[in-house]
Amino acid sequence: MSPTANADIFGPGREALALARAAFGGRGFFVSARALPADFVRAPYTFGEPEAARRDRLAALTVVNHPIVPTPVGEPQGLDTIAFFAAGRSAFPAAHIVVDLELLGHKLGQLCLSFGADAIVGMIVDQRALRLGERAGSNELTRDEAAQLLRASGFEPCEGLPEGRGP
Amino acid sequence: MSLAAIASKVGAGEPLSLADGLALFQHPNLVEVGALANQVRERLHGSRTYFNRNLHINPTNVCVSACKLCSFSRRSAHDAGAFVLGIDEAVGKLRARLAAGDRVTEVHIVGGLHDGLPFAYFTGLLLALKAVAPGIAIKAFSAVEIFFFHRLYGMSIEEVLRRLQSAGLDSLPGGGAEILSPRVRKAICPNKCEADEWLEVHRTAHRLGMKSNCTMLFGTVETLAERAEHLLRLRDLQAETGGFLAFIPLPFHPENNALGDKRVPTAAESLRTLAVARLLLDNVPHIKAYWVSLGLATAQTGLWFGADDFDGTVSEEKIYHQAGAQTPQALAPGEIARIIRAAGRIPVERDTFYGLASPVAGEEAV
Repeated sequence: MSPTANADIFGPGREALALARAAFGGRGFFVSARALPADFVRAPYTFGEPEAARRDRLAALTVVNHPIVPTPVGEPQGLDTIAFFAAGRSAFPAAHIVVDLELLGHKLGQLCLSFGADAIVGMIVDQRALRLGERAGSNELTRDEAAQLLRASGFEPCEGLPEGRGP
Repeated sequence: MSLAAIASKVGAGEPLSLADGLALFQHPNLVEVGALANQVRERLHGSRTYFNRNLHINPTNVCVSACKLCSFSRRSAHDAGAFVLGIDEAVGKLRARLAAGDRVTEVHIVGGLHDGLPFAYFTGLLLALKAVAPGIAIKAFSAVEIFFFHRLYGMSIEEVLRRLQSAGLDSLPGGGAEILSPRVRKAICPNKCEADEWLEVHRTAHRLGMKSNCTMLFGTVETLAERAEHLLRLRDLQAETGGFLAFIPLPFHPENNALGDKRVPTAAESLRTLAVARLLLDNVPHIKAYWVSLGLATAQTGLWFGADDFDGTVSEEKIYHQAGAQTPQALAPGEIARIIRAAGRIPVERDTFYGLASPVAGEEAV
């Protein structure tokens, strides 16, 4: 049984979205980086693991002044991922909860912006090539596209994280 | 119109208006719109989520329509990559699936508008497939193709449908609706049948006792109001005939076609469209999260945003994959059931008409 089975996703989702919008005054952030910045902290989750294990792992993340990056181990599942983002926001209401675009892709990534995330990190460029041939699976976004992802989720887009980064 | 007022109408079973639809498309909180759609989804279907075992066959990609939105078609039979499937070849695909022990219950057939094929090719294809598997349901030829046959072969729409029905056609797929607006059709598919003609084909099919699906291609040049109007036009026809089984929103994929400067609709936009469709189309029984076009993660999440159907095992999908879809070419029934269960829903294998095809092993009765 997966941690999302028979769960109401909307209760935690409502709370996570409200907390994320309140955390930075309605601002959402995009960070251009080829590799994850050194002070970002990964929070791994595995499909099908018990909910209690996730809660314990989140509780053990004491680095609340660092941006937290939910990180799927293996192929990310849709509902499982948004449930983990919502749990992360609930555990750390004032932290940056960050979408790693390279791992989640921009579609699932944007969805996480409605379930607790307030920031995205990945290859964000001025111009990107069409997603054809070898680039078919590319998750690069232009700055306009990154801003639009945030705006469409109700955030005012800002490039880079604010000084201090944490609460 | 506030979301609370819309929720009150939904609770009372009152049909929503165009203004309500527009308000839902524009509402800043996707989660609240999704939660409302989920109420309707669960009221109609509980946690049941349908899928089937189907096989896609595209008889030809040669198409005179030259739509800007299409990555699949070739203008001429002599163009690189153009094909016409022989009837034996098409039947071979079905035989191969059956020989492998796959209990396929539906063949889904859509193709280009080829002006060099005789009508007998299409009736022959249906007859040959039914000869191999008499019990299989054939869902074939979008309204655009039916209307093209009517023009090309000089038969009425009803005559085209009757002849195909006699050869084995059971239902129509929902493709080609795009956006039922003259402005949008002129911009993206000027040579396809008009919106009224698309609706007339389905109206006629329903009158002949056939069921059909309906779709909406979103993310090209249409406005949100045009999306809402499209949904209400479908609802009006459904009120008249009751012939639609499912609505399928189709996000536009821009690669390899003449609208390549457009972006793919986001997952949030796709989920919102599923949700708004569930709320506006109160008389259409099923809303489908078509995994091929949405992607697996979005389609799975869509099961909480109004959708109660995941589509099927598919195999050999060409139209979306030539437009850049990153999804697999096929999914095994067990994999679909696993994805549905992981969403906290109950997988139910169905036939074309939403009868129970067979119980899913180990699944609770529904």
